[in-house]
Amino acid sequence: MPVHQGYTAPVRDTRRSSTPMQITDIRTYHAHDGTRNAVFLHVFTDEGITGVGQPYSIGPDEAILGTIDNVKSWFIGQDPSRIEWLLRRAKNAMRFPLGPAAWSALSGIDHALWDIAGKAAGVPVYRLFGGPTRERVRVYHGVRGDTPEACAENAQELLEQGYTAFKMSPYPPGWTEIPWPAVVRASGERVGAVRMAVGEGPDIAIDVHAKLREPSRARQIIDATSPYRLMFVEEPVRPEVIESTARLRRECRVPIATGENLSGLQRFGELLDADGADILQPDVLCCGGLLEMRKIAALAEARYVTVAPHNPLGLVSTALSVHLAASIPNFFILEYHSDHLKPKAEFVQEAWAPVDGHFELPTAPGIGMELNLDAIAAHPAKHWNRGFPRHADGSPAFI
Amino acid sequence: MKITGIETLTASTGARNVTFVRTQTDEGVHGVGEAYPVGPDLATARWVEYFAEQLVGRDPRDIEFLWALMYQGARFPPGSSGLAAISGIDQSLWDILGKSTGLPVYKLLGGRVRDRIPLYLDVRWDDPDEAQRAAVRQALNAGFTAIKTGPLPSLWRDMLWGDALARARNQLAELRELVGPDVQIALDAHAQQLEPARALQLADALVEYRPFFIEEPLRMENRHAMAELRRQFPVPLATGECLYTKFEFDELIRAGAVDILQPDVCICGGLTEMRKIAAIAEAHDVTIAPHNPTGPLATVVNAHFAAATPNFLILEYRAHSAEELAMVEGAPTATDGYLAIPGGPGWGVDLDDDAIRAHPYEAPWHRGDRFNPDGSVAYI
Repeated sequence: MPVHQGYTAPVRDTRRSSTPMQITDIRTYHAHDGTRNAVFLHVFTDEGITGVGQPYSIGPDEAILGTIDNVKSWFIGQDPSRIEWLLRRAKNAMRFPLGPAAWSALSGIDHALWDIAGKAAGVPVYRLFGGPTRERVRVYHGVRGDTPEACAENAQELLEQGYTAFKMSPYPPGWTEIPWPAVVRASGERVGAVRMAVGEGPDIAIDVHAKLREPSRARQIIDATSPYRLMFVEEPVRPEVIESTARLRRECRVPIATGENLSGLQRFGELLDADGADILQPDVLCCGGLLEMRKIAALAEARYVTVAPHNPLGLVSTALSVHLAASIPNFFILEYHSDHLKPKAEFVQEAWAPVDGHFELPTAPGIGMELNLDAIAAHPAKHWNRGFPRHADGSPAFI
Repeated sequence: MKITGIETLTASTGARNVTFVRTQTDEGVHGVGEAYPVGPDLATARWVEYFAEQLVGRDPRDIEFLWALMYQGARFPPGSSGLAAISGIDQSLWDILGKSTGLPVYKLLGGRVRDRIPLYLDVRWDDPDEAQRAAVRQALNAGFTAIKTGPLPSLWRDMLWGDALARARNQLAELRELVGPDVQIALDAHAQQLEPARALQLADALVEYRPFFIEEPLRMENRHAMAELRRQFPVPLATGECLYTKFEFDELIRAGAVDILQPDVCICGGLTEMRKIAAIAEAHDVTIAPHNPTGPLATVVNAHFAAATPNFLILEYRAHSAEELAMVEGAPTATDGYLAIPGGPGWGVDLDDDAIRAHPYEAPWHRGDRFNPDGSVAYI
């Protein structure tokens, strides 16, 4: 392992302190990143240490802000080192299964509490988790394009930048309104063009993005694309019916990846008990946070299942995912998009970028990613939704 | 920070041997752990030496990496003595990480979820006499509200099974009468039965007196048999002290074979593995009552685990002898049936070399033998 040096002096010497630190406030920030809204938060303490968090922007982002406003008083005055207790108390107090808004809100608070713990101890958060299991974190990059040729060209550029793993949509533009056989045919052409462009070695995944409900349709997409050797097929069907994903996994010889739509250890337990996935893709912004995600990874490890964190929302999310990826033994690969830059990169004080398709491990205390509040304020949130695609007959499709 | 050496300190305490592990670093910080006394204790010490060859020179804070280095480096699943060694080393690394960050270990695990740690006390009730009655009364007077004993008379193997069942029932009735309706009585059958039907008959004979749980009602090798038994079992089923690593615990949980999991942090793979086992259990609504019959350092390690683990249920506790307590500076003892949240940094305790050296290793410890009336070998 590399020698990790350069830890600056701890902000707080816990050995000498007799009274516990206290949370004094939680503040949320809401910004528009050019495509969608982003939600960030700070947890403040009475010792001047501040933690950063990022809840997932699930769509109705105001619901996350509202949840945090509602539960803030449960945290103020409490010891921020009691992460398990604080989050468990909040979950129990809400009684109803949380749903994505509440899971995202609590995930963001979890991040900030770990950031505070790392800063107070003067070490990066992965160090608190038992140290790094690897020296660098491999990423895959999204490939985009309307046509097979455009996809191939994009993949070629990314390959030259040092990326060796890619993920792409199998769907052609406007796919919900064209005949299904044309969609299946186009999916094979798109993936085939990228395979031709990058050669045999690199990895290619496809993201079906939970837009299909019928396993039989997903199977047609998999059959059309799998001759080009897929690293995995992501969310081949909707997440609500776990048995549909499990059935596909039994029927197909392609690794099945899923999990970005699931929250909480127990739901991932259901997926794994159904033998529903080869690769888990929890998102640390909505699965419950770092503590929950480490438990999910432990369960997956016992099942020979790997973890490829879902990470589309920018650099705070990336930093959190790198700490997670560094610490777990069964990490597989991390999602990354270079459109995490402009304007998302401005939302943080120092942007991280991968080198040769890998992130180096951070050495700063805590998460090591601070918000740029001026830039966040300069891009105020707008009302946004994901859009409302429709099928040719006018019925709603999935986005 | 670099590991400069890993040593074992084995003491003979009269009852059984106890093996401590101590890891030294180039920064003067050291960490301690306890390995389970599996019987051939010298084998554990040899494993520690073998692992030390791979670990010296590496950063002791890279715990998960070093765990993989030991486990994967052994290639074969390491078995009892190998995992006892990994467990002891792993614990010593968490101690170092805690000390290097200035934190008690439970704070590295997400902080404490409780204010104090409930205990059950091990007592004997195999041949109730005045001495055993007095010990139970003493436990109640000390504030314990949960106790554990064997369910059967000591000579049950030499009795007709029907007579043994009747004695077991009468004994438990007497104990229930003695402790009153609200004290939790756990029963440890200690994996001495091979036949599921007998395990069920025993539970049926005792259920009227509301056992807290029945532990290892069957041998532990066959997960399927344990799961089949649990479907009909009239009381909560506890097991796990003889299982290794997340993989075996996951098999057990997935088979639906257990209500209360009893991993031992000195042999399951250490704190690293125990936390993973707890997460798997949490995903399946299974609670954890750690097996904890060995030395006072194990009790401290378990206290850190219990402080931080949400699905922790209750910790096994036995009254350590003065000689054992002297080996661990700062070893806690129970108050009113609870342990206090431990201190720090690290475990917040240290080994006392003089006290350990006062009881030098004498000989391998044997569990003894048991035979059935026909001369065949029984389980101990």
